[in-house]
Amino acid sequence: MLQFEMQQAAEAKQREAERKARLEEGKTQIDQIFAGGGFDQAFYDKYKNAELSNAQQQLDAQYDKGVLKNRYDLARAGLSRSSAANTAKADLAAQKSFQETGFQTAADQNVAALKSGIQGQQQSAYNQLYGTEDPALAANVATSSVKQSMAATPNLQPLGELFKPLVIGSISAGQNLLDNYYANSGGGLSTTNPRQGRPVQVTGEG
Amino acid sequence: MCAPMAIGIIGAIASAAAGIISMQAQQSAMKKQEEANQQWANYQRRERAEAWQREEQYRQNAEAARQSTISEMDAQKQKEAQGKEEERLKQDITPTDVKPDEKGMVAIGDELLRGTGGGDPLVTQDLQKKINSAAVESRKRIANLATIQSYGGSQFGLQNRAQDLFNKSGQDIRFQGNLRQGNLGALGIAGNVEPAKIQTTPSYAGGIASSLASIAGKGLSSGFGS
Repeated sequence: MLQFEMQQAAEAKQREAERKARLEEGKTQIDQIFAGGGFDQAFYDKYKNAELSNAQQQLDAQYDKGVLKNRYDLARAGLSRSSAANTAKADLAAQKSFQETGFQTAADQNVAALKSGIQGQQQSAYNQLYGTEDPALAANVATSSVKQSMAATPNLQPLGELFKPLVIGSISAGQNLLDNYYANSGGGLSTTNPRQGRPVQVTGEG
Repeated sequence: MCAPMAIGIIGAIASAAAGIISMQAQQSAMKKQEEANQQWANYQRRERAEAWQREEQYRQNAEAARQSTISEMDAQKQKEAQGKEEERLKQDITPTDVKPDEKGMVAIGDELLRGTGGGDPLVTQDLQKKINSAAVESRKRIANLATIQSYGGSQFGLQNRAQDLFNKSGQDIRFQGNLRQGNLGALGIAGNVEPAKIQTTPSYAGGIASSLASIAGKGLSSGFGS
């Protein structure tokens, strides 16, 4: 009896030694896959660049439109060469810079989420290794794996209105319209000064 | 004098004989117990050997499932899968009108230019140029979106691919784990089986030997006394 029990104990010890060896081998294999440099910076940069490029493209398009709108508004207001023009241009440039910083931050965070997802895969691989070596753990393997490999998804929707351009020349443009109205009323050019209601004084000849 | 002595001698001999019979009975019982123990040990060995053989088979099945997933998870395979998915998405989400022909022109331009044949060539060319430029921008954005999604949650994107793979092997491991638990549970029940216990009942020969020894003692003491 005693000999039998000792034999069983020796077998259990041997099995545990084999299990330990398999666990160590499995862990080494997983570490080589996930931490061995395979997922290099280029892998993450490609993702980051695509995201940045997507946002930057929309930003550039809106910025170009904003610049054009500024230019036309300034021209209509007769302010093309003015300090107001400089302020409007600088404001647009500042907004662009602000948005770019936001994109960089978001892209960096999304790369972090991607890295976290890859680490989740590594953890799932460990869990499956432990589940393979210990049937008591196997029951939780499938569900936990899926949860751990979830990564954050970046915003893929159009970014919407990114710029709030300054309102330029609304009063001047209104005044121009008013002048045109007075100038053209009465079926043609009027000799009446539209602002003072008196006939226009002709100060010189032809 | 002779009779008590004779009775004593006969009693002693009979007592010795009864003692031998009793001892043989005990030895027989011990032997049977040893045989029962041996049978039990053999049964346990056989059960354990079979159970561990099944356990090893189930473990190998689970290990095969795990290896099939892990072999698909290395960086090279994931990068290839990402590139493949990126291309698929690009093709899939690019509208037909925006896809360029051999000359790099887009069909959407033809659509928009329809009916402007009589227009100034300069205007038409300018419009065509702007439409092509817009299509190029559109394709750039589509390419970026395809790249982003191929890393994440598109149909065969990295995230979904990893989930599918882990899910599949996870289910296999769980199934094999269930079989293993059942197998080990059955082994546990087999392990609780105890060896047969041979009970040595008090032998009649032992009682007789004791009585005869008493008679022999009395007889001999009487004989020697007289």
